[in-house]
Formats: sequence, structure tokens, C-alpha cells
Amino acid sequence: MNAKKWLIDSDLLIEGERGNPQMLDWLEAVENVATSDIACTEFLVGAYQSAHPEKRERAFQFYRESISTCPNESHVFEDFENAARLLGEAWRDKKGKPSLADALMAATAIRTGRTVATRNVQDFKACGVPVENPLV
Amino acid sequence: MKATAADVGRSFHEYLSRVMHGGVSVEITYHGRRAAVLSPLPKKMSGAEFAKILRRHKPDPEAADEVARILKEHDEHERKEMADRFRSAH
Repeated sequence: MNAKKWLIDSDLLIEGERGNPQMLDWLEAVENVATSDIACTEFLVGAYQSAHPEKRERAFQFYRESISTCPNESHVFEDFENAARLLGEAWRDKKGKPSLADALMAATAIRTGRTVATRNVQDFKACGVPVENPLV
Repeated sequence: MKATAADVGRSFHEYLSRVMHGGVSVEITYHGRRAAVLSPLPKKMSGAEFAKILRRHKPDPEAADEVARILKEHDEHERKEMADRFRSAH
């Protein structure tokens, strides 16, 4: 059993909706998972913005029945301050091009001692946070 | 829910229990002003428990693709804007 504490990014939540067997197998092997406010928000943006009512409703249903049951690390003001630093430094020092959401997720993972689980490893590495892609 | 600092001080364990077990947040006022929030931390969940919940859901690649496509558009737009701003600032 993998004893790391994980913070699941929105791209992997989407893999959960897809029913990706690799994602499910990885989950079976890890001990402690959570997601974050920003990852949930990103998923919901995708659901709200869809122009297809059926897909929109199915995405909402997945959110209500699955994502919302996952423990959620809420952000505190310190996360926003640290996200600004991580984002600014990554771009300034040309370490990568993380988005604001990536940086906020990274800051929250650092504060809570979690490893980010995402397919977008490069941009989180640029933020200096422990990160792994469980789907490789 | 809201409570005064005096109430929370008198019945701290009761409020803490509501936060821990009821999942509610308590906004604490002090001399009539909003002063602090007592909120629950996330409960522990194993990956296997979350996988079990996900397996109950019928896989929906169509809806997943739609959400992924929209997030990718937002992501590319944000990165382009930031790159433009970064270039103009240097």
C-alpha cells in the first residue's frame, strides 16, 4: 500500500468519469486521497460551459455522486499568497508555464503535505511540488 | 452557523463536535463583529474507497471528453494571455 497522501487534479477526476481502468487500479493501491476546491471548480466549469444539455447534466451527476464524495482540501489565504509566488517564479525563471489553478493546487499540496496526482507533471514540477502521473 | 465567542467559549466541545461530526462551519462573532471561522478538515479516504464510488458510475467518455475539451480551451487561453503579459513586461 502506497502511504503517500495524494491531491487529485481535475484531469484525473475527468479520467474517473471516463472510467479509465488504469486510474481505478492506481486508486486501489493508494492509502489517502483528496481533491481540492480548485480542482472541483475546474471540473464544474467544464460542466457548466457545455452547450449540450445531456452531457452537462451527466457531468453534474458525476460531480454530485462521485467527485463530491472525495475529501476536499479547502484553500486558505496562505495558499493564494504562495500560489502567486510559485506562479511568478516559475514564469520568471522559465521553469515552466503553470496556470493560476496549477499554482493554487501546488501551494495547497505543499501546505497539506500531499503529492499532486495529475497527467500535467511538467507544470507542477515547475512549481516545486511533489507530483506524479499515476497513469504512466 | 453563527455563534458568539462567549457561547463558543462556554460550550467549546459541543461546537467542535458539530464541526467534526456534522461537517458544519461555525462563524464566530466577537463584540458583534465577524471574528473567526471554525471549520472541519477533510476526513481521510482511501483510494480503494474512492475507486469503489467511481466504479458505481457508468463510464461516460462522451461527457468526460466534453469537460476535458472545455478545460483545455481555458488553459490554452490563460497561458497565451500570461505569455503575452510576460513578454510585454520584459
